[in-house]
Amino acid sequence: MTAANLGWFALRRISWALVAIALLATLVFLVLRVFTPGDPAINILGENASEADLRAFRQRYQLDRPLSDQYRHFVSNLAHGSLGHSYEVLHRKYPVTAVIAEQFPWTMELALASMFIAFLIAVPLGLISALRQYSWVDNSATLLAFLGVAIPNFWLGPMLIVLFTIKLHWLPNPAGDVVRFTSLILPAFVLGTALSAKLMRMVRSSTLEVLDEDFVRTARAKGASSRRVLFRHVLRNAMIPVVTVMGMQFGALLGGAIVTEKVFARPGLGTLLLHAIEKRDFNVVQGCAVTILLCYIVVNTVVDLLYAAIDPRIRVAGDGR
Amino acid sequence: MIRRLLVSTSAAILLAIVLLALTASWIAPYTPRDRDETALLDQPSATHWLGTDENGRDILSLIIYGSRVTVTVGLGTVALCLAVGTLLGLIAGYSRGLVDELLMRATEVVLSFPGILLAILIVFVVQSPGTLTVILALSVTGWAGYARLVRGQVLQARELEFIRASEALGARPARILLRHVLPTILGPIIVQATFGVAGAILAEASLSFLGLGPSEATSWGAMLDQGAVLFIKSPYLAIVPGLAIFSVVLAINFLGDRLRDAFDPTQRHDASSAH
Repeated sequence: MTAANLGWFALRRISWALVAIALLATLVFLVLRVFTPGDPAINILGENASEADLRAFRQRYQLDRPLSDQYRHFVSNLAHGSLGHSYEVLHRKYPVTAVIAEQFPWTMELALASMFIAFLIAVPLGLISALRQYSWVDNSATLLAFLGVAIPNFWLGPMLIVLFTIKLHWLPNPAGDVVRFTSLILPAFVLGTALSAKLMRMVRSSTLEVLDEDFVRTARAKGASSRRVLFRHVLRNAMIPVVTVMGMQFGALLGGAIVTEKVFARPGLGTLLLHAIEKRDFNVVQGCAVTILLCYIVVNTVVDLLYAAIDPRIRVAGDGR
Repeated sequence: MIRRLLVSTSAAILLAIVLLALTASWIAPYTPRDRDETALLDQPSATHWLGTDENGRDILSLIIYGSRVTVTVGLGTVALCLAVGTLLGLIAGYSRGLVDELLMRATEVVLSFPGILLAILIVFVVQSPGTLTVILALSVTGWAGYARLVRGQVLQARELEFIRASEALGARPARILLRHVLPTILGPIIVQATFGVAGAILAEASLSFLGLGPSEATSWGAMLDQGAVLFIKSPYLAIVPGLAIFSVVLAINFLGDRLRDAFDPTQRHDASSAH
């Protein structure tokens, strides 16, 4: 597969990502502006607000304009990297991008830490499971995977807080000093539990497949040590699909972070979104949704492109669609 | 042996939950509205087997009534996703060309959206959602996975000799799809639907935990949300509904795994995930 083919694939993939972003951002706009009952001005200022205040509010946020004008304004703002202004009095001086920029690093930190923890759990367990197939280790790991996928993170969280923070005093209160590194351990573990279960099974099946490949047999026949075969040949190749799945699961982690942030009372996009929902602050809800959506699509596109660069079969499949 | 035991236990748990949901109003000792002012946050006792919550409501009764939302949302969401996804997948896979291209592009767009986020937005828009709203909110993105799976399976099935023979004999596309293709590809669809039920139950519980679940009915996720606040004082308030969600999802995953083995022996012992 030539570099030109890869370039063509990248162009198609990026164009498609842009179309998806445009369509989904429009969907978010329509869901919030067209289908939502009630007047945001009354929702924010209250039913006792004067007509002049309500009119000024609508004018300020262009809610008195036709929907087509509002949409044009939304698209033009988006193209300039703006998501409008928060309705809420507390944030009145702040544009939505500034409010989101304050919260986004907390969510990214949580998502990245949970991915790291999932990787730390999944790779060794998946590898041992594959190397000792059908042994008690493999069976225990399978059971753990089932438990990890089935356990709701909003149930696991409080139980771990009680155990590690209140009873054993091993970890600080995750909601207390969020800047401390140790405050991140429990939320990241809880968010990464389901992912680690899925990844572990993926590492196992991927390793089993690679162990059966001719090049592994050849390496062994040439007298390479078990350690060299494992790390240079098996693990390297088995990790390609695993890393891809990790990238694709990143968006799911951002969605899961909404729940985890509530469980641990952490700041972040999820907490901001739920607060904005409670206050019916449309622009912030819309901004959070568009930000999560952008991350989701950008990460998936980058992962697809990297995978295509590594594995030419993906480009062929992509072209054949 | 252990596998067989796990599968029969799982089937028994699921059967029990469905029966609880169907007979809730007959077998629950109290209704979700009954409040015992003299028994606020009571420990489990002979009168209240699983204790009471901060409003004096019987936890056991709430769990029994809550199973209705779990069963309705789990099965309802998957039924709706399955109907839409299978229909679109069959059409895309069989027609190919422009129709396939358009349907699959639409599927990709939907799959680009984190399902829980769109569900949150839809429920937010509706303000006081009912069980049906939650089912619709979860189905808006849920159908896409089935459409993609079915389309892939149809593409494979079309190459089978007997399906080519029916085409050559001039059978109508609808007949070929419903009489020949669909029965051939049913296995993987059933497996995915089984895991889908577990995913829908977890998603509904997440929405309820966030305060965005069905407003008119008792739900395990909402119970967990209330229980988490009083976890130190009355841990059973959160432990009981959490255990209920966990056991049902685990049971469905065990059954789904067994079904996958039954339909595809090459995958034996390769357990994985819900949703």
